[in-house]
Amino acid sequence: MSAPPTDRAIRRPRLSLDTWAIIAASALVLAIVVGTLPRVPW
Amino acid sequence: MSFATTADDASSTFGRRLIELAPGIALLLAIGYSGKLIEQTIAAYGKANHLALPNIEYVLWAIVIGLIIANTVGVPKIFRAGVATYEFWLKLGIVLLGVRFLLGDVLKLGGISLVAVALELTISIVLMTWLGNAFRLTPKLTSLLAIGSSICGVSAIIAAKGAINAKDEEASYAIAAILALGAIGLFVFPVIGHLLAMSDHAYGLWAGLAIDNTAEATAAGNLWSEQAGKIAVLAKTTRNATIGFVVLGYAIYWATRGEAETIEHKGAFLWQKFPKFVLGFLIVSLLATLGAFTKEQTADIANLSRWAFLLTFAGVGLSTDFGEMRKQGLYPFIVGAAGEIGIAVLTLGIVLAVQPWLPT
Repeated sequence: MSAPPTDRAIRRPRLSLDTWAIIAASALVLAIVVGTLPRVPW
Repeated sequence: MSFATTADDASSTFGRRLIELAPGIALLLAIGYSGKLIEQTIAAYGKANHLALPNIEYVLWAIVIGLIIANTVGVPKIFRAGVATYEFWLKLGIVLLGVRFLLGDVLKLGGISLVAVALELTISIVLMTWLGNAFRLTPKLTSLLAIGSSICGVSAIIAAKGAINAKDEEASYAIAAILALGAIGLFVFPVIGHLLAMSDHAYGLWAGLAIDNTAEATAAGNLWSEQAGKIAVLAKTTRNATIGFVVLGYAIYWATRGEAETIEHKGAFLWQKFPKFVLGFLIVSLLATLGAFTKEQTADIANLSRWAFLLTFAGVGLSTDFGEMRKQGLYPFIVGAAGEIGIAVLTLGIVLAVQPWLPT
């Protein structure tokens, strides 16, 4: 049986816009480096 | 109950949020892409008919379409949440733009920017404080206008509002004034730049120093050229990085007058107010400098940054409501406008003075 979630687990702090931007940028850069994203046209 | 339930709840909340944002993001993409199509169509028409038509960047078209929608029919409710994501796209675009800066360039241009920013901060704060007192605005509204015009518009005003206990109306006055004046600057700056035959670097530095909101400064730079856009982002980011220091200065000032809480941990306060996306930009720039990316990868990352900016510029137009400005009253607008014109002229003087040290 798993332990019940604590308040802390339920109320996770909201990430700031800056943090989201860095997470998204990291994911995109990683996807480009490992080749999962196709070439990006402009 | 198990953790799996909590995870399911979280993912359904996330899914719901995405559905809520999708229409507005699609609208940003549609407007931004229409701007790009208009630019390409005009260029193709000029080429086919051997006409020397002026090259108007898609940035201007995207902003104008957004402005027309926002100030005529208004943005329907279903799109609003997604349109508000434009600040996220701006930050994402700036972090990814780091790939196009070698760290040495950042330090060199950042160093020149820093000197110019220090002068700009001093001038803006002195000028706005003097104007605010002359027009008898409330002292805290004057502080907010001074912070907004010296650093980075909206986010600086929001950061300062809490720190100096200003009222909501004072903050919305200051935000509306800064945004509307930035929108006017978008159209006026390129004209002045052309009249003075400014270089990409000089124009970009001027836009980054004088235009207060990061999205508008980025747009103003890109309206001129992509190179000017890069420099505008760098100068503006340098200004943004000073936000904690200026807000802390004002918070201490108001705390000594008993009208704001004393700040116990000044180091923690500075870190809390520091715009963290600047760190992302520096890390991507460092990776590029270390040769972590191939030529193709660098081009792809730079193109992703362009797409993120395309969404941002559409959002700038859609989020500028001139009607809101009219509601805010005349005096804050006069103070804001007089201050911004003064700052634009003085920063132009700074740019012309440091021009010999700028790359051509």
